[in-house]
Amino acid sequence: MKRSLIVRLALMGTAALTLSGCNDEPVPGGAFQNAEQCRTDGRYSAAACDDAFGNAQARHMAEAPRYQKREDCEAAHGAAACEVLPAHLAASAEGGTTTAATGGIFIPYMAGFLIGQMAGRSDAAILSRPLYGSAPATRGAGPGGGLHTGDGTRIAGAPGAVSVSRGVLTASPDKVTPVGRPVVQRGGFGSSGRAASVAS
Amino acid sequence: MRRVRCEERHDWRARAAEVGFEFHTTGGQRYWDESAYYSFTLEEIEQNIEAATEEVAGLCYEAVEHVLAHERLLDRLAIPPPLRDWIAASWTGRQRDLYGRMDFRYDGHGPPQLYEFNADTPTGLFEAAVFQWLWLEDMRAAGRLPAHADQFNTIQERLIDAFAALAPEMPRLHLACVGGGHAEDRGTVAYLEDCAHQGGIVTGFLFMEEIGVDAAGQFCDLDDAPIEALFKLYPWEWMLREPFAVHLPGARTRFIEPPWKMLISNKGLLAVLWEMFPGHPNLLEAYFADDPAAKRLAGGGHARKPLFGREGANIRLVAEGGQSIDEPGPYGAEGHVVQALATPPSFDGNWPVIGSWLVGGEPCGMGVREDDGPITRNSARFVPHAIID
Repeated sequence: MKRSLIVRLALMGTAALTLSGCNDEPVPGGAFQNAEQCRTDGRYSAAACDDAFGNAQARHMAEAPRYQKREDCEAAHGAAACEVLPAHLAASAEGGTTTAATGGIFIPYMAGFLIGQMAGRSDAAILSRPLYGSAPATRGAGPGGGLHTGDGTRIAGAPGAVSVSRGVLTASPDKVTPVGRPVVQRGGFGSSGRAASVAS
Repeated sequence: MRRVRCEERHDWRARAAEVGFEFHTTGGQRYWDESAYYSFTLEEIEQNIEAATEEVAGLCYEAVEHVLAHERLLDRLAIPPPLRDWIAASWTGRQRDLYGRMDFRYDGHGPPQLYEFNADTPTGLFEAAVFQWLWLEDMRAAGRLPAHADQFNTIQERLIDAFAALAPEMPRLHLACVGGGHAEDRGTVAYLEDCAHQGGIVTGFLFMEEIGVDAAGQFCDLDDAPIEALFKLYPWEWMLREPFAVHLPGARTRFIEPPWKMLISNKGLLAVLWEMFPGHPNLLEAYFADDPAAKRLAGGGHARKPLFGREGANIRLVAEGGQSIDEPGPYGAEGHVVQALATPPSFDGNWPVIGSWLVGGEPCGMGVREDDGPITRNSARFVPHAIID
């Protein structure tokens, strides 16, 4: 057969899939630093813990908050908590040291993962997301330490059982933390094509 | 290969709205046209169209190597000298490409012949990947096509697979097109965003004019966040001549399509291919317009095409007897190629061109467009096809 069996649109048109249920409803879950802690905790099977950890690692590059200066990343997540975004290094023709001055991007290391299940049924799919550490509290800045999601939702002060909203368990961030160098100009692309569609 | 008139689905416009296909009719003129379909045999698809697509893709990759190794060819293709090293690095760095559409002349007999390769900003994607697939399923369900009717179309699943393969290198992807309310461009980008999302990539949209540059010369979005990777439905040859081009060599942004693709989307490629592979059955004889050898085509029918033209703009067709048809437009300052004339076959006064889609360098589907004359312009209609043996 020369054609696909299924064609599905996830975002376009009225047929887009949507999550059922209320996003605010709380669901039980766990926040752990690694798969071993999850297995020791005992509420999830070893296989579920391993899959959830692996899935969270796979999501880390997409969900980690971005910073344009290492010091801003460390101020948020702690000393020595940050690395240069590896994918960004691949785009460099020269390789070598990446600093803020040369346009590097910094992300925190993954400090743990959130595991949870959507529905009351024990056979509902296990979901997971990467979690990141917070720098120790500074005066007046509220509680520090603990684990939070890439888009800033604080999940737990320490590893263990948690209760999170459905929306947090299933969300993925689509915005980057706008910290760092301001944009100095816009409009340097796009002027040639205003008159016509680019169809070719 | 046959053109078969048929009844339209009575609710096709509602079906289009359901899937967000808004540009099916442009300026009151039909674009999507299901009052007919083209019927092919499996052999025509596999032995001719698919095989030719695979073959020509290989020739093009050799041509990229060849062009990058010869400064005079980069001059001929009007590639700005300050950007040549950056383009070469994208090739030697094996930056992946996503998609492209080869346009062929094919009439069911003899080898398909390449008109051109739209390798940078091909459109007609949604119609080929989704809407004609839905058309086939509806027609089979209604008994208007036999149950065994098939279609050359795995485009969407290959796009999702290609994005999934790209995800480790570009976990976050911005997608952009030009502003100004062009529904077709916006629709194509929305569709690719859907595919990228299904491939596990976190996506965001912005217009080309909204792209900013920060103090370190990096491209940023409207939140001042760095653009790590950018899909652009906007031609490289325009970007290279705009103010932000100066930031391209130092940019850490990965692009789709990668810079080396612009060597293939340039119509000068047709002359390069003929120079490298003269007489190849899937190629039409072609030369740069100011090449003395171009005189060989002057006596017979030929097409004169600007290097950067699109939608048939500025094409001049000269028939063997000397009569010419000129299509208006703004292109041509960058130079021309001359290509032997091979007008599409006529099926009841409809002149179809085969658009053969590649994703990740592999053939995976086809869309047929037809016009009322021998030049395929933006008034061309998209007509679905079926494989019926």
